[in-house]
Amino acid sequence: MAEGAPETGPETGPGTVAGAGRAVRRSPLGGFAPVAGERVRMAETPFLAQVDVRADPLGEAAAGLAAALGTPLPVRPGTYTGPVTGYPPCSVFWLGPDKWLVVGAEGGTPQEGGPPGGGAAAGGSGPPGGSGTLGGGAAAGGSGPSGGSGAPGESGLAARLRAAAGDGHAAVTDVSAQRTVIRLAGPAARDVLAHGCPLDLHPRVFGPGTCARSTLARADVLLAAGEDEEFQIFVRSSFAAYLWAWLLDAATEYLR
Amino acid sequence: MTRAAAGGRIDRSRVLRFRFDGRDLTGHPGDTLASALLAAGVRRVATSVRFGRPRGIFSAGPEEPNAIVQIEEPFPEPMLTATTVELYDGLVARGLSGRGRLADRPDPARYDAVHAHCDVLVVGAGPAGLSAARAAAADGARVIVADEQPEPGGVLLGLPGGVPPGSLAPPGAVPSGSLGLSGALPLVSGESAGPPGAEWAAATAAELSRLPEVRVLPRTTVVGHYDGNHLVAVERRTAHLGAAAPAWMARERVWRIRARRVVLATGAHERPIAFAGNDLPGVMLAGAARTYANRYAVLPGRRAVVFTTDDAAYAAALDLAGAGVRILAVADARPGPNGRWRERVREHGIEVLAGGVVAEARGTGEVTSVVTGDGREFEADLLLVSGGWNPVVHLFCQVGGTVRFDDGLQAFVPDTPPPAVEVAGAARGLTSLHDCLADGAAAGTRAAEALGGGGSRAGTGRPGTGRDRQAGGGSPERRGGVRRAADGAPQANGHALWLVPADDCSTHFVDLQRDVTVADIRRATGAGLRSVEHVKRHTTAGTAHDQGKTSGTLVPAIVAGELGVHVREVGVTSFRPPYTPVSFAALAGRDRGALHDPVRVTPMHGWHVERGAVFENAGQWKRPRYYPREGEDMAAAVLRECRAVRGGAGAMDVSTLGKIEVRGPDAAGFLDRLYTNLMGTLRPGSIRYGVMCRADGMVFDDGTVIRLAEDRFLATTTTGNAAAVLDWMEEWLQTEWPSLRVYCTSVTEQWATVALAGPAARDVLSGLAPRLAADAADFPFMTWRDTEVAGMPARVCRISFSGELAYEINVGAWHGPALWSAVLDTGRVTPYGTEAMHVLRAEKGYPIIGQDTDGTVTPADLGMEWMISKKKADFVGRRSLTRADTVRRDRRHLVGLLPEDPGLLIPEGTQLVEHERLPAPPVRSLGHVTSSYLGAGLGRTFALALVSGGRDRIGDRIFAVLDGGQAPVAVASPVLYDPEGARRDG
Amino acid sequence: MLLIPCPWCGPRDETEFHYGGQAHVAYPADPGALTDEEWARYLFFRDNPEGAFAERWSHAAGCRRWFNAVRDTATNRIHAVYRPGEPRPVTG
Repeated sequence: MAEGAPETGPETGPGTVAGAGRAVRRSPLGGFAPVAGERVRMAETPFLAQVDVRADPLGEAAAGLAAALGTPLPVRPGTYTGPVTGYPPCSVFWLGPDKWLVVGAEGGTPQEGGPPGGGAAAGGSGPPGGSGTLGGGAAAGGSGPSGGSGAPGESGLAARLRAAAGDGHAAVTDVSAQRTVIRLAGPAARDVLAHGCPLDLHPRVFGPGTCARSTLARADVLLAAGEDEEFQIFVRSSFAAYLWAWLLDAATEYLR
Repeated sequence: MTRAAAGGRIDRSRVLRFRFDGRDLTGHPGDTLASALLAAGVRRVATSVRFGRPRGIFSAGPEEPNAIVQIEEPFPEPMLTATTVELYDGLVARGLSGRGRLADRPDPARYDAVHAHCDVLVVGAGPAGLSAARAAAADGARVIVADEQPEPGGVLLGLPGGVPPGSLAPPGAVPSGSLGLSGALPLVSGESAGPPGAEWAAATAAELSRLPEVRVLPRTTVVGHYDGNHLVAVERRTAHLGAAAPAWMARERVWRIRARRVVLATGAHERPIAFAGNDLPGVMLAGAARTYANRYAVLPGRRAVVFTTDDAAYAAALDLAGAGVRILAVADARPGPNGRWRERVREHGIEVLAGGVVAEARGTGEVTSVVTGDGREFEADLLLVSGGWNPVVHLFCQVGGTVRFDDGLQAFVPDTPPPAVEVAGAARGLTSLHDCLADGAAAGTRAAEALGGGGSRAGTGRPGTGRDRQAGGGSPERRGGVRRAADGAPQANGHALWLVPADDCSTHFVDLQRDVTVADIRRATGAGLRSVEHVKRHTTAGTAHDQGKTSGTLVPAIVAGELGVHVREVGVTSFRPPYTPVSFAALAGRDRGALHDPVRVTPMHGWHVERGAVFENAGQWKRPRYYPREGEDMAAAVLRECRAVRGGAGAMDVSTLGKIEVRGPDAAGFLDRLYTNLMGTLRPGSIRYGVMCRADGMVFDDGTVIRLAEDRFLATTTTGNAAAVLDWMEEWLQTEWPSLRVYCTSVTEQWATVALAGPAARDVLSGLAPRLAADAADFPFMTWRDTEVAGMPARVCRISFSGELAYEINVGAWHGPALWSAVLDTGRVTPYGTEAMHVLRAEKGYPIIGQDTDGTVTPADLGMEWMISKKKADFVGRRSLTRADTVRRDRRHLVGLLPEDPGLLIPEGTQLVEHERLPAPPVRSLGHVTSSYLGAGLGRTFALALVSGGRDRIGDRIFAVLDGGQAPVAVASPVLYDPEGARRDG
Repeated sequence: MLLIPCPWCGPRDETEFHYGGQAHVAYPADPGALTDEEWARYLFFRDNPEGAFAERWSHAAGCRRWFNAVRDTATNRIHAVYRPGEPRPVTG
């Protein structure tokens, strides 16, 4: 059994990717068919690189990250920056006064950096986090049996951000698989969200460039508004199937 | 038939068929069940709950206390008011006496909820509400108008006019007509100076609906008004369509509205008067009768007497007379009735009895005659009653507004408003249409102005706080109270008459639904009750549907009369949501069935489902409990899984365990403050078991701590406490120790984790991870290694929760299914579930936090004194461990129990006692069983228990209290299997 | 339902928050030096006023920051919010 794992299950579709000769990856909503109505569209954006960054916004580490990203970490609550280019293309979401989520196009191990087999760009225009080009994979992971500062199999984006943070007090943690992203779009997208989210989603209040952590149905989410009535919903992986089912139900009247 | 040939807001071109109490009847679109019943000549609709008296239709709205019905088809719904059920084809209903019947089958309809935000919420689309909405929306504010009726207009719908639905008046035109509440001479049928009210309302609502930031919600009752201007409304979307309701559409929708400002234009309810027989079918509120005549073109009787304390009933009398009802007399309790009204009705040949009252409504089953105070008896089938008007202050009071008694109106009116709340129109005590229109417009303008110069800057978008919230509802002189009209004439003309005295007040009803009479009130006050709240609870007056709608003011006034005080001193009872009944289905919304609560699953969940795992809930997680094979029951499957682990190798999906990365220069010191044992001495590459206490010294959570690097740890938590432990860490860091340089990050779902346990585990792992040096010397117990397993980057921890040689293999969660398959595809590994895990760990005496503990258990109670560091100055909970209570020798200790009958499985929760035969109560409990299993390793049943002074009782014989007698058990060490740990360390 | 102004995120529904009890009850510098009674006072005793009350909240479903609020327990009005470590502001 040393020759890699067998490809298990009936796993095809956007959420399942066989790396080059490597084990099969499966995203939390792999196998869930995207929804394409006139008023509501819904699809998972699997396998994004997601990195949790904790740092003093005025500290040395934040400065290093800003320099590397080519843009300051957003400090205005409820906003995000990006996608920024010139670095691994990524977006930076404000999560708290010392906490950000950096999202790049492709997560996974540095060793696994080949182009995704139909993974990240499932339908529609790219999310703020994903410009469609490959973000991860270039840098060495820095993880190994000796236990470096990274984790085994962590994304290249995490390793690069950790390097950029330097020696200042910061925590750069790969959380690519911690949450998945559901992209919800269409003229009724806000209506669907309003069935379960207490935020004021009026376009003038929650327009492109804004994001917020809140609750959607009974799940905690990070909600980000993009252009053209498109939203990214970051949800904990274990809640993804529940939230998907809930969204489908809430969208019923907009899909008829 | 009592339906007029023309007029009303019903569509005579369509006929709706329905059945009531077994009779097949018809009505028209625009009817309510009540109006259709009246049109069909049905007078008796329900039976009263206590006395079994016949009851008819008393009102024309949600204040109905009599006509409580059960819908049977298309789907059973209990206890609706016939006056609010819109008629539809195929409706089957029956009148109730008391309780209704819940459906015995699942409701196929959808229910949902929606969150909404607005600058101004206007409650009520009557004249004041529509005016307010138009004024508020003029500057672009986000406005929601919610109204309970199917079409806008409120009281205007009941005024004369007879305009068919859909006809629109020119926007801006001012409606004509009289609310019938006014002292000013009203305009009645045929005397309209402007467009009839309903036409104006339709035009105004249409104009509002065209504005992009305005939403008009018909059939939507605001039922609750809460802190911060959070209001809950229920929209009835499809019930009026009957069987034709589309399945995709939610039948009811709960609106959760956050409004920066609220205008309450909730109108007023007409009040009854207590006299003998005032509950008989045929006794009806005067305004309701007027509505039936004008809006539904229904004559609720042929010969009528009017009993009033104000001018309102005169307009009703004239409209009914115009429609063909013979009005025999108006008994006006006031010594000096309004002269102009008096003249008007006299022109129609109607006698006015100044200072007159109705002493009794007589009849068997319904009104057949009316006896006035002067002893005259009128042969009549209809008695119109108007005892004055109660402003609808329910929402206003729910959110903290106070009321005061207004002498002019003889009713309680809004006094001090809550922040950012306006009251307009009849809800504020105004009585003329002209005033309500003007008052609404002023309230709407004030609301918009308070938003800061118009609401078009909805960029703020959020309900107001700070200055905005503190602004209150308008200037003091505008707060509540009855204004004087521009001409200086008093507008309110209420007259204090609550009951018509009689020796026997046992049919003087004050709450018709609850069958509460003046006699009941007297019994309550006679028993010494002084508070109107106590009287309410004693008599039930004002409960159920009523909630003070028709019994309000009346009950306090009668209580006041009995106590010899003014009604203002008695006051009102508390107003609590909901204003009208709300179905449980609406409250549940889509949180039912599979969506009732989130179901959390691991990356390997699909495999577990495919292999027929039986799941158990661990918090919101679904975890495989066991994997039955063909023909196996749970006991057999669990025994097989346990034996596989003890004899070979088993694999378990333990991805649900909480995982928190703790990073920073002060991480070690931080963990030392939270765990009872030392973490700072842990070397990178090693793992240590840890226990956390709350400040009270009670065990809160446990798990392993992995030191990844000098400044980096990975703490694992129990499945159920993952979020709580992270919260706990953040709370201490943010609130008590902000100077510590530590960041905590949850990585629970970043990783998929497989526990591989059993004597063959090392062999299996070596085969999957050829680059890993897995010998005991190279990879000892309580250490970890990063490597590749089955070609996947992995972190392998050598830890054991089963007492066997065991590993936990962590890979990125996307690789979880692949890892799981790779482990099982070796053909040497048996998947096992949580039940086998429980048995295996219990044989080793490992407690499960939350099962073997309950928040009253210290580490020492668990036998973990060795976990309590003596070297640390402090850790959270330490000080509590030397309190007198926590050092008692008779505290309950975790011990093992071995039933003398090795096949006896003692149920978890069983009480333990000292005596074989129970003495007389009270019997002292020694403790209880926390875990109980059939042990594969032990080959017998065993249990863990919390037993008073348990460690001093090891070897003792105590008794488990079971149904059918006490079972002897031996107290033992909790570690029953491999106490030396040779297997684990192998 | 309260509308709670998070010092970072602005006003949000109460459902996003976690209540933390009375504010300004500091963890004792040296618990070991306290008598049982003093420790019990820290552990078990809290104020319960009718009126203004300084209390802790955490924006649990939002930015996850702890903060303090002065809330009137009779009217539920929140008069001020401030960050941990800051003194209780004077409110009217």
